[in-house]
Amino acid sequence: MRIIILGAGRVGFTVASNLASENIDIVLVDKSQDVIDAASERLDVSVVCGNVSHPDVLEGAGIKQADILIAVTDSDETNMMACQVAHYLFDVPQKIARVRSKSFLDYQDQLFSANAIPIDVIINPENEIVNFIKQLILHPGAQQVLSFANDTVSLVETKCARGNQMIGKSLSDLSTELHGLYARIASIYRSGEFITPSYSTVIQEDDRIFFIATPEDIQPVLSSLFNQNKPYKRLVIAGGGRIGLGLAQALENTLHVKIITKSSDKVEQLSEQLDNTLVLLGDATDEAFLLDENIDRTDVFCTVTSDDETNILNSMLAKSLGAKVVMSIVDRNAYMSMVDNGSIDNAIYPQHTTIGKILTQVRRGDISSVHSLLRGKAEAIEATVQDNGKKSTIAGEKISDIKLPAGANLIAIIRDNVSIPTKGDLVIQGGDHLILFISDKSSIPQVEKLFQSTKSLFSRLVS
Amino acid sequence: MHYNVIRRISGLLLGLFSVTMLPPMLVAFVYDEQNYRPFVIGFLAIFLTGLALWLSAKHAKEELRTRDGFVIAAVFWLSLGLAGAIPFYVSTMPSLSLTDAIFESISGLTTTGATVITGLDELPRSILFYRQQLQWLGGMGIIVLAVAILPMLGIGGMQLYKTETPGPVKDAKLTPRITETAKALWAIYAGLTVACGVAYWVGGMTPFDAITHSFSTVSIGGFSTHDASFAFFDSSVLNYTCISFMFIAGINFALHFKAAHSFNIKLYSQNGEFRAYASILLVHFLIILLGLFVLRASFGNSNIIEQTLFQVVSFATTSGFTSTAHANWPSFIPVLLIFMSFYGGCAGSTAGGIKVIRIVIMLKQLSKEVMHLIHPHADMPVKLDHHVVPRTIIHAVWGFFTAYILSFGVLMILMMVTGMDQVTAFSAVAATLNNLGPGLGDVSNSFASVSDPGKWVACFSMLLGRLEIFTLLVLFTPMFWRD
Repeated sequence: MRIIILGAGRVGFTVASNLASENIDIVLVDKSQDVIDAASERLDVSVVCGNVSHPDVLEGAGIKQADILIAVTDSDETNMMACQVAHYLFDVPQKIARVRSKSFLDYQDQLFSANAIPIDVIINPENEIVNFIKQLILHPGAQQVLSFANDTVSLVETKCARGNQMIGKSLSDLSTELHGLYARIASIYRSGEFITPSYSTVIQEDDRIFFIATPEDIQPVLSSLFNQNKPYKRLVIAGGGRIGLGLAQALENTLHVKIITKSSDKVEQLSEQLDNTLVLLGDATDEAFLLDENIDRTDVFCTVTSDDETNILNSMLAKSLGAKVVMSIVDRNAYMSMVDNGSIDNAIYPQHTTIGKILTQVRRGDISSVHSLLRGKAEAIEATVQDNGKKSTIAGEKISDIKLPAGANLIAIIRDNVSIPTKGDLVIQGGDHLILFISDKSSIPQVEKLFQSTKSLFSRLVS
Repeated sequence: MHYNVIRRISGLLLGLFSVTMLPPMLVAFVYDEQNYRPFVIGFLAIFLTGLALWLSAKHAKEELRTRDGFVIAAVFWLSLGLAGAIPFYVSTMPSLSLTDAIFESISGLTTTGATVITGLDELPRSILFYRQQLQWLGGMGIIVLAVAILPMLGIGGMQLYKTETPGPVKDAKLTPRITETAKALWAIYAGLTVACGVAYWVGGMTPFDAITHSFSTVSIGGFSTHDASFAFFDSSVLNYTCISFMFIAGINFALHFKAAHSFNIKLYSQNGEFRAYASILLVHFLIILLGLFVLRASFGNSNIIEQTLFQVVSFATTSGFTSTAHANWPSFIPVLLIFMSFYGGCAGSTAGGIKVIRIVIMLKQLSKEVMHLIHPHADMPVKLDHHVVPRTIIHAVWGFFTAYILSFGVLMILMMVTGMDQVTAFSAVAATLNNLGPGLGDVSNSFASVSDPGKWVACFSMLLGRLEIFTLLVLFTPMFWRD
């Protein structure tokens, strides 16, 4: 498979480095020679320097053989133009583009179709981040909440902090504590390795636990098992950019929201667009200012500026001043391991929230969504078993008969929008959604194969 | 420095190399020579060393850095030179001293083709085959082979690849993934070898000679299984076949790849380096031909044009096959031939020397400097195939040239210290640094008469030339080892 990525910025680079490790031919195109040089030094990809929407540049990047085009430059217009060119001149089957501007997105349905601007998948990192943070705030104690099959079930990551009542208990104890709630532990990440859970697995301190539950059950499960009780009430957002605004808009009717921005221009803009949010003009790194705003009684302090250093230091300051939970956006890879030690309760990595959507397109077989977990160490995949017509390799088989590769676990089945228990003698039917937890990414090709409809020899040769 | 990764990868590479002891055993079996001992000992020694290195660090997971690539390349070529000498040293036919065995092995691996063995025609075929095979492996490079077939090298493969491939622009990958690039290169290389072998066989060689000579032709090595080299066959058909394949192997393999990939033969004529390569050969051919006519040199009965063409292509591509006693030609011609080895082969080919593309860049830069005197305000970038050559590359080329000339001078003085006369020392350094093979004076046929210290200098010179100086030179800077 050949993928062309336009724009070698943070998103482009992360996508390239994620995909390059999977035996995919990647060509990275950017207009800046320095950026391109740095990328070619660090990644096993080929690189082209030039204007990414120019046909000759795209041709030089080998777009004629490309299966997917991913346009993630800074400019919406460039991305859209590149997709147009790729569609009309080179007939690229899949086009993914980053479009951020709200005015374009408002007309999304009319604009982005094959006879207008041919983009198959739009990614909008800001939106995804807003959604991601919103889920974290609505589910205290969760490190990550990912929904599958139209919100039928969610995969939740939580950390087992010191003093938790579950430490030392086994998973069979756990099921008795649930009092009838349905939750299934999918995997446990302990000191750098994934443990496939069994009933005798004992939970230890600092375990990262992944469990599957329906959206309504997430909070009861979190509170009964991991004493993450009360929902958050008071939220302070530092940073009035697109993410800050989006977050405030999404949550202002459920929580008490304050938003802090340094720029007086933004203040007006924010207060115009927000009705139930207190918009504050000030420096969020100013101790006195934070104390005036009762930082010590804040449940969540969330820093979402575009500057990593400000975000991290700001969160740490708020934490020391008494904010209960601090969350921060961390963009740079180098800082990620620094904040993993717990100085920040929830570090949000924008690149990794975006990549899932791209991976969904890259995966072969009937994969309807992919989420990257623990900064790319693992993946959760939702696959659809094909209905009649095309014959999938696993429809009609018992679960116990499916040969899943080591490193891949079946963690949930959704049939007719209801999650059903994954018992060994259950027979898979067409239309079932299967959710798999992949802890070893080298097993992905085998998983893809399971959900690929058997191709004729001819189409195999063509592809 | 990540010694764990270095150990692990060196172990892997040695393990890979140990496998190359098996084909000579097969040859020994086919010809019923009972000459297994050198190769069995070689195989066990190399394999076990590799295994020990690998086991001592098999869990090393760190990524290979640029720096580690240099160390691996240098350590690996050194250890290969030593490891490759084992069969020569153990063997009783020929019976070589340790120095001679190592010299022969390094000369093979670096595709130099200088030899210390006389009486090749009487040697067991397994040893002869092994000698030729060393050249073949060294031609495209064992590290490149390893990158192609050992997927576990990953991103580090790219760092390694860069240290071994010749030429000023090393990041020009042919395919997005480095393993695919390496595979493509080896595929072209192997394909050419097969074609060459078949052509030799059809041209009248025995199958054994055809295979072994195809190895040393396509790798531009110059080893032969006969003391008389190509003069042994005394056949115009074979001479012209050899000329063609040396010429093809002296072209940039990336160009072969592109031409084969797009079925477009025109790409050759559109390539600046190729045109310069062809013109260099043509001009030198005409000069030498003219020289021979004017000086009315006598050659006996052989065809003057054929012999001149053979020598020109053989020396320019740094093969070093000989079809006649070139050293007895009028005095300026042998020296000109030696000079050609400096600039006769293309980057990214199996040839040695400074490479055509660097010379082209330097000459263009030179003419721009002259132009600049006339038009002081003009902006005149150096262009190659309608693209501006980045300044950093021009600097690197001049830096390389300086290092080359400097190394040449130092090595030549060292050779004279070991007791050589000036002509011999000059040609011996040229023959080894350019991976050419035959020189002038005492070393025009073999290095057998050179003293032991002289041979060691030659060994170093051959490695320096094969790794294009910097890869080896960087290890001698204190900066490299600090922190």
